[in-house]
Amino acid sequence: MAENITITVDGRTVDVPSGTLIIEAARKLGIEIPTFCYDDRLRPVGACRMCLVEVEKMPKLIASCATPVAPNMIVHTDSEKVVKARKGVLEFLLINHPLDCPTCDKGGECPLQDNTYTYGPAESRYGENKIRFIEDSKNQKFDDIRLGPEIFLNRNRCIMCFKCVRIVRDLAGEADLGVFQRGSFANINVLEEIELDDEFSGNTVEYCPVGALTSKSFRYKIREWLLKKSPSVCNLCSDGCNMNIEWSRGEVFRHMARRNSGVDDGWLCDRGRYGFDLSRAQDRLVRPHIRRDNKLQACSWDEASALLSKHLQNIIDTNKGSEVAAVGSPILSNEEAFAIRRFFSDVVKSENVDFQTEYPKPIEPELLDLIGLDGSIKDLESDSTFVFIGCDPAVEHPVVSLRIRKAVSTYKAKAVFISSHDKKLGYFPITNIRIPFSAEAAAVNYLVSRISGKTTGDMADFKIDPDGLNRLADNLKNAGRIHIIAGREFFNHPDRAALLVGLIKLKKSTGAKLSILPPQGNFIGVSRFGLFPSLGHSFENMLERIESGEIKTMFVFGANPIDEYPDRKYIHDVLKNLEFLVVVSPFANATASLASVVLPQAMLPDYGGTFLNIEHRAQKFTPMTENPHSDVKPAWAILGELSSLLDMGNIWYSDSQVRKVMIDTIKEIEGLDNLPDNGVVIRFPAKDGYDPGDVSLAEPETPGIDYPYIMNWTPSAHHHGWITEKSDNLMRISGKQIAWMHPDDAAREEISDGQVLRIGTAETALNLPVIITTGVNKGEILIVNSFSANPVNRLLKKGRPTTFVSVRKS
Amino acid sequence: MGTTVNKLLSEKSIKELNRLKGLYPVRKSVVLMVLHVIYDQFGYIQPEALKEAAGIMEIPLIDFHQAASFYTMFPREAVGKYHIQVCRTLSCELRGSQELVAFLKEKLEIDMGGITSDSMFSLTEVECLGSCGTAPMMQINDTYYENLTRARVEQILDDLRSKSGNG
Repeated sequence: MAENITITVDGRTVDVPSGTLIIEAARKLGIEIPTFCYDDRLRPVGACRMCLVEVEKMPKLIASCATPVAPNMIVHTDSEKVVKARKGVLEFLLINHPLDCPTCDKGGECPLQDNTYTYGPAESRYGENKIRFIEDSKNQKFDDIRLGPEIFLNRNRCIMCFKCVRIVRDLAGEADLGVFQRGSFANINVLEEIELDDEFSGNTVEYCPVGALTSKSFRYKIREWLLKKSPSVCNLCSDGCNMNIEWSRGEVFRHMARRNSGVDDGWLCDRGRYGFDLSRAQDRLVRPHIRRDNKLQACSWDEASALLSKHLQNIIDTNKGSEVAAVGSPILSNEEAFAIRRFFSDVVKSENVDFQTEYPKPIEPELLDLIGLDGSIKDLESDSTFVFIGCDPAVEHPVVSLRIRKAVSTYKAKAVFISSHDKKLGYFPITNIRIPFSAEAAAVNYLVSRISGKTTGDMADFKIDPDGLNRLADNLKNAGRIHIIAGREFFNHPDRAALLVGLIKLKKSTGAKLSILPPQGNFIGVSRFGLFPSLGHSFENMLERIESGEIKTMFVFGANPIDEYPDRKYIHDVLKNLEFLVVVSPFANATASLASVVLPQAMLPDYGGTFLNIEHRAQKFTPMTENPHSDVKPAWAILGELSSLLDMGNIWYSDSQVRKVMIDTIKEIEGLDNLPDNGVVIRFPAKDGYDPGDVSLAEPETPGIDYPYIMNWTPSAHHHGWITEKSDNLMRISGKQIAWMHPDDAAREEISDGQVLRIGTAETALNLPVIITTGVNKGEILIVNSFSANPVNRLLKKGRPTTFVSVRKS
Repeated sequence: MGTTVNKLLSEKSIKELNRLKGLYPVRKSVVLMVLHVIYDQFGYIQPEALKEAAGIMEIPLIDFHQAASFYTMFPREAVGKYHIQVCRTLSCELRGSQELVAFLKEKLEIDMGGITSDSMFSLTEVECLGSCGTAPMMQINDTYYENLTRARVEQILDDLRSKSGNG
């Protein structure tokens, strides 16, 4: 351990570990040294000179953000010399700054403005012309240049602190942003034809200490001091990043990071940041609808509730609860999930609840204890070898992937991806071990045998090239802290049972941590608080019971099975058989269009509640206090009112009231009552020693002559699932839906880059432009999913996560 | 990611780049040397060739552009066969470099930073070339021309023209 060093700052002593920077030591004493370029999460550069301090026995002032403490240092942060130097630095910084605060978006929350008021000279002595960067475009002159779909840069306001460059390069590991020229002409820019559009680009705007970087979705819309802040938690993936929803008069203007050093460390990904427009999306449902004359027509809550309670009363009276099923979704809060389970088992007397509308096969109950992060998010930084199997952290867990990027770039950890297509973590060095599509189980079993010195099976059947796996096995034998991480592809894997067995064996033989991470929002919360089908039918079984007429009524909360279930035609036909379909959803969607009753559901930030993230951390989100959508309700409110109409108890008025009932029922979650700002990690008792036994590997499938390609799909970093398609911001950032194919396949089919392909099965097809790359396997077509114009689930067949396709020019 | 085909870089340049590749413990340190390789082959920083070089070196392209834009002596657009650099610093200025510049502009019918239509000459001003004792002076490609007068400049241009058989 590092030794402690004592230094004196402004007459007070402080004890800090050696290596601590002076600015941090001062902070520990509550002394704030002004700075622009320093950020404790980024590499210090000492660029702005604002943090100059006087250290006794040193001849010149020094930058406190770049100088580590030394024993017996005596630091003055407010001496005459320092005060004068700060004035000088600010005068220099302002030489070419346009001082256009009245029209600048940063005004009111601008460190340059604040520091100038506090420490700066009131007047400038500089009489010469300021240097001005002007962009000439289409015969108009602009101060701003476009760096990417969301990010604009005004180089005249820039004070060259390099924060944005460091965020893009050192944090995300992208090479999009750079510094050009020198001296007064030095400026930040991107190269021609390059867009600043990585997963974290929005952080450059948030942490810019001047108004140089602005977001297209926020600039010129509103003044910072008019915004109210509601502390919230993002649920567009399962990381649970903390954020502030900033709004005025019921309209959300932006999401800003709310630093929780255990979770997000103050970063937000662009999906979470720019998805703020979802709450006022065009497809937002704000009124109840009931089907009249075979058309969905808007109605009042009273009418809709009366219809529902009449229907349910009939079911209760005739004791036909088992004919009812309820389907939730990972977008629901813990309270909603709990209320749904309670309502259906207590009031309706049905145990048919589930939320797994996306998977070809329901998750085994034993698996629940294994889902989630092994250890904390922060621990990821100290892991030394990551093995990703069926997981793309940059896409599925952007902000958590920053910890992994840090481990790789700063602590020289190794990241190995076993997959059928290449993955990346920015430009940080990683290893891709390519295997055929869905051969993960075979590959993992091979690794286990190799590590434990047993004879390895023949890989020829699975067409796996063992070289990469051999090297990995040898490395794993003497690696330090190993972390095996499985993700989205694990849940969709055709041979999930065998893969799980392999992963558990691999964990045991290497002493590794094993994390199985679901990508969707509150997956862990809804599965833990009631929506896992422990007593009733799983979603898959519900569909069969609907076909056979045993289930006649279905309630859908927040889900959209038609877009989610991996067989679009089948699910559509099945749901049409229902006598009564109720869809509770924040948005109009394909499933709602089949419903008898559609109810407008509350979403962030209409209501309050809690989520569980991948490390089982319960975190609280709060609503805006003014809401133009007065008719939207969370599931517990809807069900509470129905309960009251049915005279059945279980009447819920608030999320905290539901939480009280939850705590009474589930004893592990006492902490949920009084959640601190950074949340509480909930420990559910795991059933020990789950041993799934041995499972033989499924035979690899071979394609036929007519449909020679295997279809695989992936989400994109900015857009995942049907909900994000409702956000104009995210659709602008995420770009077009594309497919990838291997150059050899393209050559055989005489297809060139960018051509539109017809990718089809015997029944139906998608039409997508193709990008030719060696990043996918021969014989594989990889498609970006979640675009309703070309939904991948149109090609899929029930029970199977993939299909064979043919391709030809469209 | 597809491998880029090297179309512009000469074999000699590629060989040199591969030699440089292993020389630096911090990979990025090679940036300036790579710019020299491009400069030596093209006489300026040819953007497409730089892309190829960045691919070979496995260093982000932007790193090369950042460095190239920092240094004034890497021309970023094509220069003439004879790249004229007139010193404009104090000694040369006092000894009449501005007159020479005016004369060159008139004679070559180009502006500062321009290139003649036959791509024979390009003209630029530079800071001190360390030859103050022989001011005014200019550098054409790698050769110094010192103690210049109008007559001498005219002679130099004529000589260079006739040397390339374009009279």
